[in-house]
Amino acid sequence: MATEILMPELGESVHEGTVTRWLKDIGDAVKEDEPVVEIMTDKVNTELQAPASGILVKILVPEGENVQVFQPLGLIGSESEAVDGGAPPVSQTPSAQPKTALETPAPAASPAPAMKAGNGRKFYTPVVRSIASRQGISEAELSNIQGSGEGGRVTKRDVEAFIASRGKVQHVESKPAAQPISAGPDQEVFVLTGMRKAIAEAMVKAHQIPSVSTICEVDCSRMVAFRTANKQSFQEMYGVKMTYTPFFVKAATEALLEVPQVNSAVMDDGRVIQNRGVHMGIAVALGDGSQGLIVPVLRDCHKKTVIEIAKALDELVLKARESRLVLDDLQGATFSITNPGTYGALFGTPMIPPHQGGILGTYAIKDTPVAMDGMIAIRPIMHLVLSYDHRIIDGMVAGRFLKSVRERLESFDFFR
Amino acid sequence: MTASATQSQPVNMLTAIRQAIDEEMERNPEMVCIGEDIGLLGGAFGATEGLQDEYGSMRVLDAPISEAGIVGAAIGLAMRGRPVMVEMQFIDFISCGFDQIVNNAATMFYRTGGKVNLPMVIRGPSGGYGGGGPYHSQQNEAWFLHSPGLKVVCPSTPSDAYGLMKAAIRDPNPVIFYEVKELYRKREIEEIIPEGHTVPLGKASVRREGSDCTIITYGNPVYFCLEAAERLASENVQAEVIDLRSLLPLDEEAVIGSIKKTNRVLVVNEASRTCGFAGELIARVCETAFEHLDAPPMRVTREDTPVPWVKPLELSVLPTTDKIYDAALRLVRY
Repeated sequence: MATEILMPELGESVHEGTVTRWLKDIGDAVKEDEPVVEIMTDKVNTELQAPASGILVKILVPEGENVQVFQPLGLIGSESEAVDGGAPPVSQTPSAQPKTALETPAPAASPAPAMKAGNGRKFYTPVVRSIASRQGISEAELSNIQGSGEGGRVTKRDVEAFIASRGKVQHVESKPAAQPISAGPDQEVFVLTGMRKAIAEAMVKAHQIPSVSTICEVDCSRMVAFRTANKQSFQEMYGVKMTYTPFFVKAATEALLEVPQVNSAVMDDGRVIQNRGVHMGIAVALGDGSQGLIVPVLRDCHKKTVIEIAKALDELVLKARESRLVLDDLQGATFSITNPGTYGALFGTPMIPPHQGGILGTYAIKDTPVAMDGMIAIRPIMHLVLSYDHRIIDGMVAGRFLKSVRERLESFDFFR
Repeated sequence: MTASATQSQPVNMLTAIRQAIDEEMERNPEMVCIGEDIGLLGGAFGATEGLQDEYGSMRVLDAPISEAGIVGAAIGLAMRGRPVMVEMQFIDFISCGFDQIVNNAATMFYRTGGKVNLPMVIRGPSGGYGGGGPYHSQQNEAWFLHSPGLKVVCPSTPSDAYGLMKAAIRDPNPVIFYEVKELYRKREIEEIIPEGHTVPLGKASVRREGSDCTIITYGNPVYFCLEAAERLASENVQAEVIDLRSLLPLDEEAVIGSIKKTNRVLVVNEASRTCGFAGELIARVCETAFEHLDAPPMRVTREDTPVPWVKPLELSVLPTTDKIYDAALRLVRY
């Protein structure tokens, strides 16, 4: 009997992933716990380990295709099973669950998957199939029915409800169906998958937050001078490069503690969470940006010194760029920072990640003529932008927060 | 007739069985009873109490401890046209008479080209839940269901036991009659049996109507299934409970009809799992009602182990209300 390599639940809101790479070919020997397949989900990229030792006898989900949670990805069998293309798999047992680096709590009851038949056709129960064929319900219509069974499986009741509503819906639904897009001679059409798809969905959600942006200018003279004077010794002493971001994080953290209203968020059920600790989401572009953007979380900023923040940040960014982030690294931010200043952006209006009260954008530091004490001086000036959820934060509070951040950066008193 | 009239007061299953045998003995002077301790003692459980006094030691025979000899003698009597009731002290011991049953009794009608019938009933106390251990807890009907030529019944109520016993004795073929000993004296199921009550072989009984799933069972687990169905009702799940009563002939119409209504089936069987009757039932459902299934058929059976002595261990291998409830929930939520 072959053992199924099952797609595990990699997080609460993770329902599917994409097979990025099979690390083994059919016929290869695998050892239990040895990585066999690489999966990309909207939150993490991870390797799944073999649930058993044996031969990889079958690949059920090829590279580039999507896989639902609890769906089998492939089969591990014995030598003899490799010949006949894989014996029927053993039913799902806890020991057959693939192991992953992620420590996610097991679901209370392990639901059987709303499985796909081996031929790629979606599985429906015999009675659903026979009703569908009698009533002339197409495969496409079937696949659009929201199943109430385990794992979203379509039950007899669901299909009967569909039939009952079908007549009515057809009259009401006069919306023209979306025209299928075909690529022109100099175009290419593709669908969003994995991280890109998740970002798209998160941005739509973010867009629903009624947000306002407030801007102020920060005189970065002291910060720039400090960095210029100390970046060499800092690297030697602490082993990490000195960037401005740890200072932004530190200043924002202290300001959040001072103006806690900004460190709260409206949740999906309309209730508001007031956070006491500060866990800072840090936007990190991957590669040259074409591989997407991820927002790992720098935890417990309120307990960290600026040096500790610098070290933790360095580690986190490295993990993100090497695709080593685990689910825990991506959950629970209370507020976020984005730093488009790194690519010279002067000014922008960041979007608030869902379940956070706001996001702070730090922009390019640029020598600028400013009026000081009746004279014109040249100072390194940075735009600081706060986008905030106007449902819970008003302009005055936002202004207090921004002022607090600005003063901390200008006075640059982090090493007292 | 020795016993008091069953029509006037509620009786337990043991009394109903004794009454049925008694009435058949009276009805047919050719009928004979044979078994260990059934005469002088009146049977280990009392199923034949008073019969030897009433009908004499030539019609109610105390036999030596030899199941093969008892069944062989019964076959000889039945071949001569005399209806025989054979008692196995415990149905577990029937294996000692196995060859006579499966090779002689089961095949007689076939081997004689339909010339010789064997009007005989082999009955005995069966089943677990009583702390009887491996030798006194079996529900071994699968062996005989697997031997063409035999009929097999297993009632769960006094009136069904009464009616089926009469039908079995009058049937011209060998019938293996399973009596759930844990139900023999169960007070809660005592009932008045109407005069002239009969239950035909091959007719199931719907013990509870429901629309969400069908639970097929027989014997002692009928009561666990009914209990589970009550609990399921509080979860808004209406389970239909069918008591087969006769396993062979099987009331396929009742079974399939119910599944066409509910589209989901759970079979509960006290016997061990592998090659048990639950598997046979599920195979038939798949053959004849596949297109009506909205979930894979499920079964709750005894584990493939002997029945342990110790109560908690015994319950851990046998079907229980909890196990049935859990399985039914999985079934309806599939």
